Amino acid sequence: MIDTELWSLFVNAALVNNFVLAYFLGICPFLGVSGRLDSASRMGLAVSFVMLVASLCAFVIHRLLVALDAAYLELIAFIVVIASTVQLVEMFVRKLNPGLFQALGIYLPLITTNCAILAVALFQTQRGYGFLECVVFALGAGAGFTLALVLMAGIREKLRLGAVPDLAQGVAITLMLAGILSLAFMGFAGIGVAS
Amino acid sequence: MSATPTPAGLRSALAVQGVLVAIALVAGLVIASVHELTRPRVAAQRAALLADAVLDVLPGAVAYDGYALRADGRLERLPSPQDAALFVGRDGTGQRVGVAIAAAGMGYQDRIQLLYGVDPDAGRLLGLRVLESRETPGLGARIVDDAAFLQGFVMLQLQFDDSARVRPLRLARAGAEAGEYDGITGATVSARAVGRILSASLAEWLPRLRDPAALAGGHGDG
Amino acid sequence: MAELLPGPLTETAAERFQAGLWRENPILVQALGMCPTLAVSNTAVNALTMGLATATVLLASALVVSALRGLIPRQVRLASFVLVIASFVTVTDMVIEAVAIEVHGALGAFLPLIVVNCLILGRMEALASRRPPALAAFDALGMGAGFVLSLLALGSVRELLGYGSVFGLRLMPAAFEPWVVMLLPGGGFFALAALVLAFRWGDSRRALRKGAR
Repeated sequence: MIDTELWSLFVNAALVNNFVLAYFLGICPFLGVSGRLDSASRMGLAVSFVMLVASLCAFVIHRLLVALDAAYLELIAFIVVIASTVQLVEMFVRKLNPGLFQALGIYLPLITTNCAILAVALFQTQRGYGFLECVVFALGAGAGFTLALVLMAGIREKLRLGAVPDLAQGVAITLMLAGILSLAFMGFAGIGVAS
Repeated sequence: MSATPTPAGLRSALAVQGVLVAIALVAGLVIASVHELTRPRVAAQRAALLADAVLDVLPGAVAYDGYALRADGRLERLPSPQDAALFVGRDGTGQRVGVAIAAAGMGYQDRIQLLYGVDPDAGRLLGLRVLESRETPGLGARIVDDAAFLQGFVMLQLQFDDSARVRPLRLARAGAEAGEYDGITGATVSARAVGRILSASLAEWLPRLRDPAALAGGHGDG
Repeated sequence: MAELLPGPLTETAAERFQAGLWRENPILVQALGMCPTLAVSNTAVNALTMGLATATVLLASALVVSALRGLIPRQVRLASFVLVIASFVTVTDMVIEAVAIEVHGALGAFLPLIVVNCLILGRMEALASRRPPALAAFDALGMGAGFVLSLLALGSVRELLGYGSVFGLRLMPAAFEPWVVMLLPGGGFFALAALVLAFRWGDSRRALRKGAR
């Protein structure tokens, strides 16, 4: 029972309510980094990783602030703690695994102000998820973000071979593609419903 | 990061941190004071919104009390109904009209949050309001404001099996019978989700509410 | 990030204001700061409220950051900006809930997300932290106005085609069949793409006319 609920939560966060295609979250990197497949997949991984870190931070902060009866400081606490934790993790990764840092490093500072990250923290708090649910939700959101980014990068690599009118080059064509992808993802709706 | 630990370097690093801490303190102070200033109005607005919904699903009620479930399974009356799980509505003479219960569950797109009124003794629903949903606009989203659909839950007689357990509500196929509700064309999944959420919540709450001692905490001073 | 850098130092306040409205329009040209706002652009009212909330935070943060620009050390400037922005967002959130709780409910979880609106942090870094408050204020006003107007256009188009009304006022003939797709997230992407295209087309026509003269 518990397992099916967690699975439904994961599917829901990754596909049905995909952060990029259903909530418009993380559009900035979506438009910026989706030009090439390898950078897109690395960005996706980096975001998924930071989402998990942020989710854990937010879980602890929320418990702490509720205990202190200061829930109204949540937003400011989330953003500060998440940003500093990411910086800390960045330093660790640089020391421990230079290869990984090379792969993810340049994106990490950018990601801190990515709306998708803060959204994970805010949504999980608002919906009152428990610890396990938070982890699953963050993983699902990350997987969904990566999927959207990689799909888009694949399409845009193909698109380079086609003749796109000058006027539509760049943002406009990407948005149109995103619209089509978003409609396609609508087809996943209903999967999360337990029968 | 790589500041040499000379006294001067340390001092400037401390100064940098000091500025940040000062900004954070001022920010916290500002937020806390605005919170104090707006709190009464926010509380009043939230209470008005809640009262509107509760009295809507309990026709005839003019006042209500909030109850929460205690650890021992008994219901306890709360001083403020804001955080309550269920609400007991009373009419002008203080008679119990019914109980309003908040319920939530998965819909087609996302979670649906409901508030429904039920008369536990007569075993029938009194009203339904969808508080929050992200169903498909124009299709599933009609569960929020489709008057005929919502009206179908008013005075809906619940069915019980031999051991007095409430039977799940069913979507009517042709002409609603007892225990059935009318769907919405094009919104079958969402309408069915509403029925499922209601059935699950009823199965959980009704046995408690039909226990005569359940609402003891509120009878004496209600 | 090159497009974020401020123009020459000699720019006047009026020029900064105009830049935000057209040449550096945050949504249509820079494609910035759309993340938390697009989600609530399905009706004109929601788009306007969200736009105004964002613009208010932008203006207030720009003034404070600009006034404190001599005090904030470079190493912690981003953290300081974020602190200032987050405070104003929290305050705005509380005020909206106190004044209009229905609107607050409709915007839901997306109000706090103004904090991470890339537009705001971008303006702090590019301009407000380097220029005096007056110029920063005009820049914020221009950017804010450009932001609100583009978002309002988007919300109006989506509401008009999706519900047949604008600001709840029915404009389409009764026979009009609403385009439900415009209310879906996909429709938001399409509508924004169309706006960007229209803007670019207008801009290129203007450039052509200037060239011909």
